[in-house]
Amino acid sequence: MEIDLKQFHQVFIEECVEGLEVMEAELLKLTPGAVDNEVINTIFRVAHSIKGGAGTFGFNQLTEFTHVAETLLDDLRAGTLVLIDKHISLFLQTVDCLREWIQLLACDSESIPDIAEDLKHQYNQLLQLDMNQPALPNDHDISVTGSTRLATNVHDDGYWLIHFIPGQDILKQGNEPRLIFAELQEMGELKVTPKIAEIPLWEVLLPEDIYVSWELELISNISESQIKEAFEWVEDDSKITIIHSNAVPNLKTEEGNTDRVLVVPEITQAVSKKITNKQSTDTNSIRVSIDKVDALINMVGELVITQAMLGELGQDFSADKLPELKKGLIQLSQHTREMQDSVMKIRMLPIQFSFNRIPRMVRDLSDKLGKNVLLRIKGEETELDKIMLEKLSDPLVHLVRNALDHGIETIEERKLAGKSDVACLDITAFHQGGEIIIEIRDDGRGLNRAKIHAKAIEKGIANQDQHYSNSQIDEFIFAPGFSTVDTISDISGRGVGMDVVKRNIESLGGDIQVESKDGEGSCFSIRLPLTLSIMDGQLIKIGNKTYILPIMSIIESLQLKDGMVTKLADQTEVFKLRDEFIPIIRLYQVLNHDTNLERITDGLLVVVESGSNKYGLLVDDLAAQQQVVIKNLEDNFMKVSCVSGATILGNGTVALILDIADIVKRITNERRQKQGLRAHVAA
Amino acid sequence: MENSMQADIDSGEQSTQFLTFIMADEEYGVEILDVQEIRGWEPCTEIPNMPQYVKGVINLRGTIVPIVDLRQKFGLDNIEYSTTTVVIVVKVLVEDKSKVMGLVVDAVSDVHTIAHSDINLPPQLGQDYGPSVIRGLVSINNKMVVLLSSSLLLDLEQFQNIEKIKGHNTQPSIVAND
Repeated sequence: MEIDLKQFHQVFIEECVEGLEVMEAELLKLTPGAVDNEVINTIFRVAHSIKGGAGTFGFNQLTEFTHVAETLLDDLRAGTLVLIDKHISLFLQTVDCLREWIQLLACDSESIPDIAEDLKHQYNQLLQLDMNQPALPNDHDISVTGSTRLATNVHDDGYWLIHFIPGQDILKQGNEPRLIFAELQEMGELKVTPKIAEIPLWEVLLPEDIYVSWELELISNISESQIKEAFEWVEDDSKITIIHSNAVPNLKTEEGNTDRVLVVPEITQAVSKKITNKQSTDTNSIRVSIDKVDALINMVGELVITQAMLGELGQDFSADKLPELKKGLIQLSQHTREMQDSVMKIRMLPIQFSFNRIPRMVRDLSDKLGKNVLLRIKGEETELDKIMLEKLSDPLVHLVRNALDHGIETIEERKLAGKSDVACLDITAFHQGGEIIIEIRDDGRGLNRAKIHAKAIEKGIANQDQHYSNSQIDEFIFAPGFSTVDTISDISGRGVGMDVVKRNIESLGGDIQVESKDGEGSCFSIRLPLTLSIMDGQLIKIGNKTYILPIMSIIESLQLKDGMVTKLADQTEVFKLRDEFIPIIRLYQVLNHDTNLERITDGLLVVVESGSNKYGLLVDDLAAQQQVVIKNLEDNFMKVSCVSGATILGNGTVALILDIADIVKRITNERRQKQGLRAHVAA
Repeated sequence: MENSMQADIDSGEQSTQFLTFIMADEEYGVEILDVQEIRGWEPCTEIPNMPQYVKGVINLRGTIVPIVDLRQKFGLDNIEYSTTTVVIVVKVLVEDKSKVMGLVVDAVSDVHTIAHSDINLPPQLGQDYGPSVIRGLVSINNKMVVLLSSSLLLDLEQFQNIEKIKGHNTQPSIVAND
């Protein structure tokens, strides 16, 4: 088998990652005592395909490891073992271990996770217990004797007799006995004797079937499991008997159940090499359901038809065909829009992918914290852009952790407060007006505003003399370096929390808000745009140049009248909008453009919100509103200050999209520099 | 000269094809494999707060491509853009990413196959600003051609450096001119 299997590694790794997610989700459905066979089967399938894949790629240790897990699953499935909580925890740890392992493989690292040996040992213990139960069928006893002997004989030169009666259709499955033998030959001295008694008459012989069986004699000091590995792909269909010369020559065949005999403790070096920096979880491929692709293909078909129609119309066009042309153009624009939608949909995945980790985490954490938490997830099917999903996972985990650690009280506290023992954590995702909203709501103690306020003053985030409204105080938790927890736990509260969450979400074009009621709980709601690449834009004019502002950030626009503008000492112009003073930013100054404005009252003021502050942007004029496809400048150029991206307008020219937060930052920096300069001069 | 070059090629020596273009009566060359296409000049969308030689960005079949005026970048005199002004669109790998950029030049001249042994290193004179945009000099038909390294033309750090220098400059030197 000289094919370079490396090229398939990535696929295998992706499959494993997906499989492990399924496995984890299914494991969490299990309850001790009651075995749902469907669930066990699903878990078993995942374990089996990982094992199979690992075998193919020669990750032998991984194969062995999953094999032990599979054996235990098999017992559970067969009902010879009763599922206890310990099993579930063990399996969950296995999932973690496999995840780490897969990561290591993805980095081309040969090392295995430290915990693997320990887990294997635990499995073996459970299995041994199981085997020593007297109620088990007889053939298990044979295996036990076989295996114990084996364990002592591993390092002696052994003589192995293998009877291999292949399943009739193993050739059709692409298995080749010759290759198996070649593999065995590499392990030691091999003698193969074919048995051809079973070959039928020529007339009834099916050329694709196999009728030969073999007797193999192998002299080698390998373990039985290594021999089994060679037969891994055919063991389900074939009869394989492996006899060690020292073992009692018992020709009783074990079908399928051969699995039992591999309790060979193998010394594997637990290399404590941690995953290298190369993060390979960032996969760039995407799995798309065939429906979506079909829809797209249909759409393209329609588009081609419309194009043909228009082409024909154009061949000999006369004025009376104008209505037809218009109709065709309307169709064309409709198809284009539909196609754009369906292409967008290809990038969309259900939010489930981000939510998957949460049940497990809630289970682990609530155990650890001694809290009783009921997790309710709604709207898992809400679809979201893949890139966003990936970036959303960490903030979500953080928020859930915070809710469990800080939000929800201990059982005693809840009792004192007259609440039920079981706390509720609701995670809900839904669409609302072109946005996706994700809410994380707990019924815990709520934010402690007094403490937050005090801490904010201590950290210099808040001003002691100023009065803050409740919502302003709540905002402080998103300030950098803010944490009210006095003791640092390993669950949350390292002080790098909410500001990172907020920043991550803002980088996705969304925002996060918190609502809280004392003693009743708090609710974090994340708003995200549907996709990263399309947004509603407001075209604005600065001089003779066109720029775009994201409509989402615009609050209102108005024309200033004489006397509305006040100049502050440091040259900042402000105006009063209802009861707020709003600073004015003259965009043409920031962007170094000419303006057609002679007086500030000639232009329009677009009031925008960035962070939690409002600014008035002075523009020459407002033009149309339209959906724009965001293209980035970094692709071919670099990050440009004040600009978040570019788009192509209807007339084919490029317009730049303004980044309000960056503009504000730039002005602040400039002012600071000037002040610094002045201070310098004064000194 | 022509013959000797031909001989070099026949003898299997390594050579590269260069597209040459004219700026202020001087001939410059870029490796032809880096050239994606040649376009006529068209007005582009200005990027705010950029050095003057960054003319802006254009829409090249759906991708946003920056346009750099090579005359201005090299400190030559400005000329009015006319119908013969061309933009050479070059594609180059920068840090494993392929980037596309348009270079405004006076006119496209010719394609030459140049043996590597004929390329002379540029003379060292004055301050050394790190790797030079000039890859080498070669003489073709007794005329000197300056070979440019397109990957360094796209060196974006240079823009950033200029950006920084400009930041300290209190006099805003950038004035729109299209």
